[in-house]
Amino acid sequence: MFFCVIFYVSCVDEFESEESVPNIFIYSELEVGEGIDVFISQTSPFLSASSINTPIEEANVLINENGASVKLDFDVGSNCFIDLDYQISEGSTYGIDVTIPQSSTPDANATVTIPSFKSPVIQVQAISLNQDNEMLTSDIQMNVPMDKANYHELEISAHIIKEVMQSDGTSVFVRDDSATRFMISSNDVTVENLAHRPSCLYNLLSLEGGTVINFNLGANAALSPNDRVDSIRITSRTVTEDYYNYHSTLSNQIELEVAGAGEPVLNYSNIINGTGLFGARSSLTRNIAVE
Amino acid sequence: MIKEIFLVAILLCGTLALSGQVRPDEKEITYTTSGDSLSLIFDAISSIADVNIAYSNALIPPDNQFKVGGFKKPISYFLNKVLDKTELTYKLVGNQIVIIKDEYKFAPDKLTISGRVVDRENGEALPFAAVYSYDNTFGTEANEYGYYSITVSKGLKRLYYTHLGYDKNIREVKLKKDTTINIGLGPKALLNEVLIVDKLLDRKRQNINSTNEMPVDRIRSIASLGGEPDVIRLAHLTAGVSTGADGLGGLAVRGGSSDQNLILLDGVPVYGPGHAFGVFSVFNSNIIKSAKLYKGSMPSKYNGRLSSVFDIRTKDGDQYKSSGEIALGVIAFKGMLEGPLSKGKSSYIFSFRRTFVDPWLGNLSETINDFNGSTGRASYYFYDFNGKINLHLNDNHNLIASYYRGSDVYNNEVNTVIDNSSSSEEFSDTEWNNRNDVGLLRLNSKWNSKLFSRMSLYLSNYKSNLFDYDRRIDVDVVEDINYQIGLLSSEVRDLGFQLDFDYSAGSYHNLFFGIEGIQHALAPGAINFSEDDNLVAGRDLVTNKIVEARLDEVSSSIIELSAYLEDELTFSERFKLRLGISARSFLTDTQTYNYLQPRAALLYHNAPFHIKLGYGQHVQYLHQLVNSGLGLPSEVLISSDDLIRPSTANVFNAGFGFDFDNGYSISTELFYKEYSDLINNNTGPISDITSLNDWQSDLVTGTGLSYGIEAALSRSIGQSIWYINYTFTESTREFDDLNLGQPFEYALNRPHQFKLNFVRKINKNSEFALNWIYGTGNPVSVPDAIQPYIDEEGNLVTIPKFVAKNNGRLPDYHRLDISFSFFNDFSWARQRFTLGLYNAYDRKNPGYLDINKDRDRVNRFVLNQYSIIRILPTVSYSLSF
Repeated sequence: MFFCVIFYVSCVDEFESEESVPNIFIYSELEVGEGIDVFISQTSPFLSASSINTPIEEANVLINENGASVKLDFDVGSNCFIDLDYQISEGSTYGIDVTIPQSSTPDANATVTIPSFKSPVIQVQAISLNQDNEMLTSDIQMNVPMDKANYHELEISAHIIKEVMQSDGTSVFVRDDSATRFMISSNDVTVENLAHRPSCLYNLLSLEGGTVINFNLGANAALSPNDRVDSIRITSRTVTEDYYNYHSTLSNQIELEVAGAGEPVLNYSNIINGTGLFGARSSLTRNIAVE
Repeated sequence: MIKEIFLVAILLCGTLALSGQVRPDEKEITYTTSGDSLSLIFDAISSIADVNIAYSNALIPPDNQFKVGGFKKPISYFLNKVLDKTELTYKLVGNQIVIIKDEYKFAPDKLTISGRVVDRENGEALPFAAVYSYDNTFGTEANEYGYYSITVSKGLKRLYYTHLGYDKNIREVKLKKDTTINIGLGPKALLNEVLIVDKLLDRKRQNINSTNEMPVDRIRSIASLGGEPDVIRLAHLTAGVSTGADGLGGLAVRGGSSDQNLILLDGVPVYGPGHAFGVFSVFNSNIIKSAKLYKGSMPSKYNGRLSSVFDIRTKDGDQYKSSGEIALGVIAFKGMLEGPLSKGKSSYIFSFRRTFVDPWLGNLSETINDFNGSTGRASYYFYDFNGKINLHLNDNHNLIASYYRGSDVYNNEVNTVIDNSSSSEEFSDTEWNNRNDVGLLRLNSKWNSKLFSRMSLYLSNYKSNLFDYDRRIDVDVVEDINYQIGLLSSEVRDLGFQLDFDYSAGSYHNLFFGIEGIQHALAPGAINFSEDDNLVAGRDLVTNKIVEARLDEVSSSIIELSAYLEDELTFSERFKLRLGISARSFLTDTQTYNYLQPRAALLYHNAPFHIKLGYGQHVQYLHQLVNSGLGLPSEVLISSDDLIRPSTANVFNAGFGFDFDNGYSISTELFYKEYSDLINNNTGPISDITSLNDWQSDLVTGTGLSYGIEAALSRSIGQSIWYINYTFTESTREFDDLNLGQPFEYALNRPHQFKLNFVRKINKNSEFALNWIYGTGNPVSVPDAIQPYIDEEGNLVTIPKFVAKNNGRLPDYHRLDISFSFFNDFSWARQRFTLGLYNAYDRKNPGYLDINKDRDRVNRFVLNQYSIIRILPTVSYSLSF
């Protein structure tokens, strides 16, 4: 019995690792016509108890374009540094410099060039959906532009009109506010459905312009007999390579955290002396009717 | 002055006189006889030539008549003529010709001595027994079945037969024809466990391979875990061998990966050679006869792995009397029974081992869970069964049939109700099962004094299944159910045929050649589920069987065909060279991979000094995908196929050593290995491996490099026997898709290792043993920081940030084991009682690292280090009868 105690009770101790120096965390996705907002925080040593979800309000955040700098102000409502009137232009290159006054945290900076929209788009006005129990599926095709870009994000969701019974026995049809996300796959490109946002990433490195990509869609939607899908919303985005790599590695790591077993993921970042993403994208959204 | 001149003149004249002198047998005479006896001929020649010819009448055939004639011929002409058909010859003694007997005259110049070396007590063949001449001018090694063959010049030979743990046997033979000498060696120190050699009788022979022969005869003298002597744990004490903590994760030999070791049980590959994740091996020590670990310069007959071959041979059974053994330790009980089927010819041996801690473990786990506010029960057991029948068909043919079955069964269920702001219930279920079946049918044949063959048909089947289920439900909110399920499954089934030949081609050549065909069938599988997959309704528990039914395992089959040829050349007693080549083909559904694997080894042995050099190319079809992130190591076995190439390696080794007559030995060896086409998981979670998904696209290919130096010092005689070794190893891997393309250290590498093994005979009935092992901590991937990200709902969530693979290091591993053994003999049995401590100073050696969310603080992680085995007392008793 004594020996079983010794053998069974495997010892658990806290492992002490070296304390790392905190780095500035910058997160921003620039897009034409949307002003600018930047979340600033900092990393924490792994075993430290400091809260890193609190933005650093006292940070100095400068946005640069062609030598001209604009200082961003902290907005309490959004917890970000913003300038809603700032004009983001396609093809322009922007830099960010962040310093934290009276802090030993190293200054951080990054640059990004705003991409033009060159993503594959769907040409049809309506698509059909198949329903098998709770699964909604469909196939769509998108045309790759001749002057294609390499890195893309795709978000497809459905809005459902649900039948709601009222107390007097009559029914009304109400649009469901929440969007049902479609998971996307393809035999033509490698698609990565992100774990932390309702979209997927894919790249066209091995495809020529002018080709057609077939995407397969699948969504888990518990529909009652009188429910119907109102429309499909498709958002295509051309993204920067940094944006692509950051979200790809982040999603991979989140999945690893959930699964518990696998190869460690090294998080991508384009922030010099810091971590996070200073990225950009160009989007086009279409609502497609359902046949 | 005149005196000096005179002396010089005399010397000169004497020299001239001597130089002009004719040898007695060169004197020319004219003589003819048409028929005389030898004595008359000798007398006549002696008289004519005025040369004394001495002979004994007892040697001369008295009645034979001889004819000879010649004109002005030398005496040697006449003597050779008349003596030609007799067993006589002559020699010169001063000015006399002396007629002597030459009993080897008609014997061929080169003759073969062959036979078998066995244990005199029980008839067991002694594999790799040494056979060598007194003056060390020639020698050989018996094969794994004790058969040997050596071609030497005719004449009087004094042969030494030795084997580790046995008294030397000396045999003198007048070699006039091919001779069979079967030798029985008596075990040393029969009454006492510790083998004491009071003086070094044998000049130590050197093996051309870079190999360590495990001292299985002393296996019980070495402090063991839980009183279980273990041959693979014995290998842990060898230079160049590293493991995870306490054997976890398998063996890494000279920086190689744990799947690069070919482990053979009587020549049959064994997959999954470990119980309890590698803490114990599947090999029951009481049936092991020999164990050799080849770390480099492997003979061409060994193929299929890149780093090492561990060739374990089992006993055949006592051919003379029935005997057995029962033993009880802290972990397991075991028994062994052996005996003759036909006395002196055929035999059987059976052994069985099983752990017995499962009932106690279950009750104890319930108690501990209860103490922690949980419910649940753990259980674990393993067992091994070995059976072998050795049939003597006739003097030249032997048939062996053997079977091994082993299994591990583990499960652990824990249910915890967490009563805080949101009452929840956490349930976890871990189940691990594996099973090994190894069957062999082998015909050993001795065709003549030079040719020996082995024809084998075998089956090796390994299946492993790891199920892990973690569920959290909200006590109040019915729909709030979260669970994660993982199932890893591996199955390997080999059906193989081997035909090997050993041919003693001549004094300088020993040829080894053969063919082999193996059908490998693998069925790897890995699948993950979450609550989104709706495996069960509502709050029903998911079971292993439900998940297994959903796992569509991959089925792959690969045919491996090979042929090899090797020549071991002995140029002199000091210089030996071995050259070999192996041709190997792997056939998948649509691809054929062909390889030529050259091997070369050189040994220069000028006692007490020796030098070894070796080179070999290796290829392997089998790959182990390991979860090398945080958490308990888990793996899946896959094979090369149309998309996955076999891995290859170039292996170099060079070493030198001294063996002193007082029993001390010192040796050092350098090694260098380059690997290509290594396989690894890509970053992120291990992909599902099913027949329905493109899992191969989630694998990455890369290269590896390992190099280092081993140094060993030992003393093998006297009341104390000890062995110290130090190893320095650098082992890295490089994949374009991992670690940003930068090289990283291999997970089981320990740059510095130091090992001490010491056995002291206290008196004739007791002994003391001690091991001390030190190794640099294994590398591990450690998060550098916590960083935030924004989730789907726009909330900030934290996640660990990794900056490099294997960037950290677990604390160093070191451990002291001690044991005292007491034994005595009855008239009918021998008993042994052992008391010991494993990890005597209770070092919390790290087994693995894992990240957990801190339950009490939001967005806070805890990095936990798990130690596997703390201090473990050992009590064991065995009775051999």
